[in-house]
Amino acid sequence: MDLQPAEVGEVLEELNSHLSDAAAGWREAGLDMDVAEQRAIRGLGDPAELGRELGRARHRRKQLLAAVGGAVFSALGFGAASFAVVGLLATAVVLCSLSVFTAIVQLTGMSVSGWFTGPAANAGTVALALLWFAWMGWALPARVARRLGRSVRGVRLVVGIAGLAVGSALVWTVFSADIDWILALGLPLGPAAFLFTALRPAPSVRSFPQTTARGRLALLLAVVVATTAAGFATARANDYASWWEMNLASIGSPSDTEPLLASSGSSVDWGEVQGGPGRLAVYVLSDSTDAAAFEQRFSEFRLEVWPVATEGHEVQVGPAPLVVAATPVAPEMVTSLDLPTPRNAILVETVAVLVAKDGTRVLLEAAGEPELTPPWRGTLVDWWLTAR
Amino acid sequence: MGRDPLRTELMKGAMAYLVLSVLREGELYGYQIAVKIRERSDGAFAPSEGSLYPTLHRLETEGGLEAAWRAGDRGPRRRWYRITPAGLAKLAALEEEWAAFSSAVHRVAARREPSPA
Repeated sequence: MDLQPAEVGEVLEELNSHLSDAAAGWREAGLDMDVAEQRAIRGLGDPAELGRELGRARHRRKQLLAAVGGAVFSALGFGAASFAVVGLLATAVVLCSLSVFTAIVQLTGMSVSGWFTGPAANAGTVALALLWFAWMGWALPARVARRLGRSVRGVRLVVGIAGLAVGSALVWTVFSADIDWILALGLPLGPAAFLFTALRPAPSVRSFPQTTARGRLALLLAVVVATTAAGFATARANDYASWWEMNLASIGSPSDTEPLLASSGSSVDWGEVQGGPGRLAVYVLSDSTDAAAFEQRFSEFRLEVWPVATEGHEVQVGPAPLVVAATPVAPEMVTSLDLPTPRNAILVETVAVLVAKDGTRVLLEAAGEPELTPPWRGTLVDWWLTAR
Repeated sequence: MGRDPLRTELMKGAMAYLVLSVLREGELYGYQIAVKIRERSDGAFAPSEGSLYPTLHRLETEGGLEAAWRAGDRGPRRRWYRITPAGLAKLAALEEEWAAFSSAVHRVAARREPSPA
């Protein structure tokens, strides 16, 4: 028997009691004792085969675990492969569209940037994610059922709920991106789409529209044209800086800027964002021949980030800075600060301020180009729980 | 007496359904289950022990049945089987599946294509 030693005793006892009952039954039917016992024994069939069948039946949990493991492995493999296919197709389409887009930009002399960013691009990302989850929900139950040797109907609910749980865990805690309201609301719908399609009977493959080679080429061209158009629709013109004027009235004394720079011989070198999103390095260099006098007049250097809003051709500075980084003044300084990353990106302007010994704030220089705060980056859980 | 191979194959497929059906009404041990199936089918189904006990043990392993040893009034102690809520759910699913299967078989068998003129 394919049974554990501890199981053999129980099985033999059960079969023995069955044999005595069966023999008694045949005797009541009128057979002699010997014949009745022979009939009862014959009813058991091949003992070796019975042992094998009992072993398989009692160890079915192990077989089931192995099958479940195989099904999970198959599901993960299929998920990863289909994700890679969708990703490759999307990359191929974007690359094709990028070529067309760049050519048009160069030919027409347009100046645009930031294409495929913003609400329209994020809506496209949500649409792609929903399609992928729905496709997975449509295809996975049949694959899992085949692995488990069960009917699709029998595994549909389990696969749907498992997909909902795993998909939600991935979307909420693992996926990390530049999140806005569209992604925050749209991405959690993906696992729900998986459950929805998993619970519905899969349509026949024949019900899908069949396309010819020419039709597929036309479809690809249409996608490239649509993606290119989406690129133009989501791009921003770069001519913003050429026509705005900044109203710095709320900051303090904008008229002090020129005399101060002229007298101190100092200048501000606005560094690049570095060390991760939102980190701005600023280099303040002074070539003043009278460094001691410079230090004697000023006690503090501040770097401030102010919210700004555009009204017509004027940039209005907000009532108070969002962030202030202060250091003791020195002829040469390098300082840095973390730009704020609110949920909704806002326009900000960074200014350098010197604080005189008498407490007067003197505007040293403004960065000169309002920019949006860096996009909020992280997981959905962080976005909903910690973002401002 | 040799068994009809088709009937044997059908019995294998239907054994879990038959076992759960007779156990729906109360606890029974293996021999009683075999007798009940034979009686209810008017002798058409006479499950062999070679297929009955593996089915009982498989259903127990899957959680559809619970088994307990109990001493009888006379003779050896016996292993009594009782259907569980999971077994009742499986029985409901099997009833549905069997109805759909037999209905489809009937439809196929009853259909007559018009013969070409």
